[in-house]
Amino acid sequence: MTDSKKPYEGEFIPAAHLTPEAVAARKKRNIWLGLALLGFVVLVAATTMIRLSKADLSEGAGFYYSNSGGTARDDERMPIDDQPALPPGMTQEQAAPPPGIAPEGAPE
Amino acid sequence: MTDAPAPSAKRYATASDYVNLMKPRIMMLVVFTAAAGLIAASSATQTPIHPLMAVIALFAVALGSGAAGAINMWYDSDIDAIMTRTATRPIPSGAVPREEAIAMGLIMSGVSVMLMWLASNWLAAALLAFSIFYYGVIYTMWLKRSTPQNIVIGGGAGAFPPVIGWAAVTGNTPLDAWILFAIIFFWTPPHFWALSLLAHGEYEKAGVPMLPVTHGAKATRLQMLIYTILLVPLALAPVATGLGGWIYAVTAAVLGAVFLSYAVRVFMSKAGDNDCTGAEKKLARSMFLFSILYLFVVFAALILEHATGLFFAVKGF
Repeated sequence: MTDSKKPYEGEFIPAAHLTPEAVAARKKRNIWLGLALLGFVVLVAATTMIRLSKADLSEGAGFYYSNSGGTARDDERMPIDDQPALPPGMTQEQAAPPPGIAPEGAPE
Repeated sequence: MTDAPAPSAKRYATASDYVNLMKPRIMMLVVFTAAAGLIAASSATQTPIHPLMAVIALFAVALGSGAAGAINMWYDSDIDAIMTRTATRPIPSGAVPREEAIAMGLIMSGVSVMLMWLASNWLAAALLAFSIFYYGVIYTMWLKRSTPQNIVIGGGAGAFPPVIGWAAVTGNTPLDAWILFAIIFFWTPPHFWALSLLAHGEYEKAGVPMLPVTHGAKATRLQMLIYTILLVPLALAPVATGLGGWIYAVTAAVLGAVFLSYAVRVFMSKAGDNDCTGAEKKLARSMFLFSILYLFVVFAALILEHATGLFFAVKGF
């Protein structure tokens, strides 16, 4: 006696058979979805590039975007060429090196 | 025999169905008012914003508005199917499955908030997230079916865009931004109730407690008049704070006077009553359409002054 049941019968969900209209509609939706994802990638890339171009990546600077074109910590940072503050009561003349002695690192 | 439609009658979703899911007409107004807030903030506070960042921020607002619209249509698909005006929407018409609508709404919510954060700052992103929650959850899921004050409180959701636009530029929300919020907040009841006076039978059929359904057309017309009386001087507040100049002042005053005349005429009519005439229905419809024009032109005046440099301060305030 043989088993009349076909092999694997009832074990798989039968594949959906879509009409040509359904396939065409799905294809169109997929194209729009793809374009939307591409648009998202482009927008994120654009914002990242603008942020990087505006950010100060030097040591000690913050990586915070600011609409004003600089970094949020601009006002807290001291320009490299600035002289350190003098002690209270000392004038620039007192702080200057004696005549004839050039500051260290000055050109000869 | 079943009532199921024949396979050939099945409607397949097109891209426009997904666009309609985002309520594009509301989206236009939302983006426009957000742009007004953004441009006014940049000009009034002398804070420049990168043009592309501004465009992306406005796009994020549009996406957020669309996301809230999709969530609203997902939740309201049962009552949309009952009302004639909304029965052709993508979900009740069978074009878009409910689960796709909510998935789209949630994904777009996340994407819009993330884009806003990238393009501006955390405050604008947080305000955008809150406005989506306000419309999708507080208004749609809670207020709409539980209180006749649904669109008064729920109107807050639609009032956020100029505040978001302002925050996107400056990172804060000063009084001027909240004045723009208040203008839209007080504009919403007369705008929406003018429409619901015409469609209260539909709302009643769907079991939505709109004011004309619960308190009658007369009480609604009175409320519309009260909110319009509050709106007209409020719309002139930007002149007092220095945000609006002469062009804005004249525009807001003239359009406010016309809006008020509509509200008075609707109040004195029987619009929304069972025995109202065709002319009275037409009057309510005209007020609804004028209210849209009012908001567009008032915010356009603000944009014109701040984007083109045609700002002439009003002395004496």
